[in-house]
Amino acid sequence: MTIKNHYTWLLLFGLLLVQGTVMPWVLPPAWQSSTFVVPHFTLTAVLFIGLFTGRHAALVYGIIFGLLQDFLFYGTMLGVYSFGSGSPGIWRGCCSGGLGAAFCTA
Amino acid sequence: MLKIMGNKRLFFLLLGMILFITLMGLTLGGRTGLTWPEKFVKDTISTAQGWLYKPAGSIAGFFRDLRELQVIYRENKELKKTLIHYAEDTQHLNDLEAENKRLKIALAFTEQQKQSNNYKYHIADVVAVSPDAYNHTITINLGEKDGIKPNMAVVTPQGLIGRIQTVTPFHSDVQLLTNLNDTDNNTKAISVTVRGKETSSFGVIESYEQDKQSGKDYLVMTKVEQADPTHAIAVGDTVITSGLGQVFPPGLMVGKVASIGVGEFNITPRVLVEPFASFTHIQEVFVVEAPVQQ
Repeated sequence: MTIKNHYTWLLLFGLLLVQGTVMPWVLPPAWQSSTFVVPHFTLTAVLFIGLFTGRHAALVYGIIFGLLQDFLFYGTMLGVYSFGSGSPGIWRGCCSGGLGAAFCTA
Repeated sequence: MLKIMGNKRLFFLLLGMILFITLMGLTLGGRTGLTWPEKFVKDTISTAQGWLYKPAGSIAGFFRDLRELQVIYRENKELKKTLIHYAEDTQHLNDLEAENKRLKIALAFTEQQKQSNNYKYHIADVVAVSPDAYNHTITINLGEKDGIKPNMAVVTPQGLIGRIQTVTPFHSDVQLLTNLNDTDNNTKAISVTVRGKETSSFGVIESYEQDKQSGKDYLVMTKVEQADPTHAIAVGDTVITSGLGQVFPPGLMVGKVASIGVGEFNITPRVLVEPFASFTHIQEVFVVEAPVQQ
């Protein structure tokens, strides 16, 4: 699961595509209006990479796929997603062991 | 904390945070359009998204059709009945159109005036929906190259759903009405009127509200002005765009008046409008191109 692993890139890219295209059809309309179920699969994957391989890989994946998300759907400003999904990697690095795992998944 | 992280690491972390906050601050207000790298990345990925969204929608639609077979059978019957009305209406319309044309010539309308109601509807497929709960945007597969420009109105056969926010060469982002907010600079209010009372009732739809209990979507119409009290706005009236805001062309269907409440300062009413269109599971939309006003 390091940066050089092509499958990880493909998996994350696949998840990025799925969360914006297939998920709106899988989720019932009520979950998209009154309750919000938000399919942020790339973020989940980044958290897992952070837990199982290391914070640097998670940081790089998080920033890159966050930035793609920022580009894809025009929001108020740039950088929110890329900061938001990049930082869990680093925070996981700050704490170590079981504590870090608990912190990241919480 | 400091001991665990080390000075160098802390330095880089802070530097990164400063960089990101600067980026967010710089792009917060002055994001007018997309730069070319953004356009390139967006177009490439949106193409890939397009390959997935439509099949997913068809499969979901197939299962829904199976479930609603009984309903569809009844619906089909009803539609066949309305079709007869359509034939009658078309005949009537042809008559009126010919008469209208004749009168316009008689009254010496200019070419621009004659063309002003001639809207072009560009059909577009939805390629992706933003998964963000705070940014209701969909991407469609028409862009700059197809003549799409920012601020064009986007409708479904049911009614208005939003406006074009940004365009890339082959795709564009549509900001849905559910994103309307009177405190956000990135949304635009819609000037509306009531069908049948076009000369007496005006208002502005500035924000979107959701009923917490039923989960129903409502558009909030404020600044309601009623020139003629005998033709006041009433529950059940059809709300259409008025075209006075210079963003949307007049006559697009928006919704139905659901309730009329008391406004902020008790001066004008606050009207809740139930939109005709649904904002989830959208497959095809129409971009309305109004003739250019000189």
